[in-house]
Amino acid sequence: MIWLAMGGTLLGTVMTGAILGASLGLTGFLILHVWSGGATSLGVQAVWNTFNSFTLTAIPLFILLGELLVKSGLARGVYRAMSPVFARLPGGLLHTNIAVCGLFGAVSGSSMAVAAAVGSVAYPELTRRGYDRAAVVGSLAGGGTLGLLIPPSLSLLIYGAFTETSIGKLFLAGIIPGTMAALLFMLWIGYSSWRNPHLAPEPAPDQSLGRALLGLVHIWPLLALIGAVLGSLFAGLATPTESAGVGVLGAIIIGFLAGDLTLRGILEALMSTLVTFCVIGMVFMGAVILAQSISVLGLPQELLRQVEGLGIGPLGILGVVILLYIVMGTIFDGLSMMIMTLPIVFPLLVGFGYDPVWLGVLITLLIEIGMLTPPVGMNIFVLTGMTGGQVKLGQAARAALPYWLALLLLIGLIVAFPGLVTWLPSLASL
Amino acid sequence: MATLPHRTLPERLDRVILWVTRVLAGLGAACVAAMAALTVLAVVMRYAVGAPFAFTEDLAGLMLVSAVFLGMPYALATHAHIRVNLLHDRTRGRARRGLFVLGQVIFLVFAAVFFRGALADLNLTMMLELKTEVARIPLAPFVAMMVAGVAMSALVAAWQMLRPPPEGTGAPDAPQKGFDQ
Repeated sequence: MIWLAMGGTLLGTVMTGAILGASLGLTGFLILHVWSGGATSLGVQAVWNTFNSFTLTAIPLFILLGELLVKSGLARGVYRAMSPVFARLPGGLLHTNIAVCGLFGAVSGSSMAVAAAVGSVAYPELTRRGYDRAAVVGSLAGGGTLGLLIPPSLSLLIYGAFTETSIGKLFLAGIIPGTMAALLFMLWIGYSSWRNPHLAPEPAPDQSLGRALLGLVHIWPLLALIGAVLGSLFAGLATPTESAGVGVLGAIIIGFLAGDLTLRGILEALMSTLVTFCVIGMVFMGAVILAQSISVLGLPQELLRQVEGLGIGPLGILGVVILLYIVMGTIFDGLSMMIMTLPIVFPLLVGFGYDPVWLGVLITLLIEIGMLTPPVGMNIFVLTGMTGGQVKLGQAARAALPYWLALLLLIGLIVAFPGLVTWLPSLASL
Repeated sequence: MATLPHRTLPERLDRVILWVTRVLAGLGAACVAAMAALTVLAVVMRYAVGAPFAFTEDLAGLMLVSAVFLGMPYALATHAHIRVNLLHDRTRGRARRGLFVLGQVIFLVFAAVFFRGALADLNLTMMLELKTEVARIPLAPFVAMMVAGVAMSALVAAWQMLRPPPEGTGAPDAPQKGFDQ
């Protein structure tokens, strides 16, 4: 009965187009009111306790860091420095898209910020050089997803804050899968360009490899920022929140010295950080109320007992969850999908023996798949908007399909070899 | 001489609401800036001076609560919040309007329940003069901010209910602006 009421209320309110956080919260309030003796105040207290937290302050600070990077226009210099290195590979500058996205992913936790920052530089440059427009958008959409997996990652941060899993360990766990995703993307680019040379028609540059490598010194601002953010965190010198704060200061200094950041740019970055955080915060608020309501009644444990009774087994239930996320990815954006499902999915899968850190990376990969799944694939949506209608949504989705499949392959690999995720965190004492 | 564009009363009210919520959001953005400054200062004090502040974590948490509830009405006023527009984009005319009003009513009911609980919390906080554990910062002003933020959001939602629904964006749950993940 309670599951029916919860599912019905949630589906009914969500489909009206109500604000997602309000739908989640109202469902939680309804459960608290009917099945917990009218204890709706428990939901409000849970919201206060969740937001009044130092750990959670890392989220707006990492968003601010990404916004400052976009405003400072650092992507241009980094792209120019890395282009000669990758231009000699089959696929040419399409590889640069992946590499620069990976590098930006190591300072920004946001997939769309990465796609937007790199895309604004790469798309006009590559189309001018005669690259296939859809292939460029596909590579940028795929590369942008690296922002969520390579630490610092907004989704891992929110997952860690919500489930009280070590954020340092989650960040470490994202490194190997993030690097593997980048390599898989580059393999696809190399193969597809070898099969179809008109995708990347540029001839190999005359510049020697040594000279091209020497040009990489120009990416020092970004490397310094990565050192400040990830170095301070992994060395145990700073908490995730502190490393985000240090990153914000570093981004401002570097943005002024090596980029074109202005005071107005900082103010705009602050304002758009606030809006982004409030949007995430609203979903978070609703999910916290729902989580509070179902945990008070012990529903996750009951669900676990019932599912165990069905004899599906851990792998079967994992398959169902993966399928559910892929289907939901066509309707919801990634972070909302994660936040709204965690109250049930986390206790269920951890109850079946899955490692919380491993699960965080798996869910992040599923979110990345959602970023490339039409019609809500936000990376595709943003990038097609950037092309001014030159590349249609359908063309971009088809071009992004190999990257979508690469991420699915990566999920298969981390399910088969969980050590790919858990090995690095097991070495650390974070 | 340039003439000012003629605006109807509802359009003027739209502008007033946007202006008020933007001012509140500006304060929220200042809270984000304060959080960043506090965090950096905490690191500097710990490693450079060897005397960390005791209040950093308490104050940063309270700034976060403030930022969320100060920015919430603006996010609502600019239709930035996430909605699933699957049905909305496939309806026209009265059906679309009806769905939009229903969605706003759901937000209003949620906000009303939240407001009642938050108000009770505020009364309790003031009665017991509750403070943060470490820095002993009074909690009442921040709980009041939560109450006011939810009330203001409800007002915005109620006003929007009387106005035409926002245009779709083409992507089912894409926000109108601002959402970046």
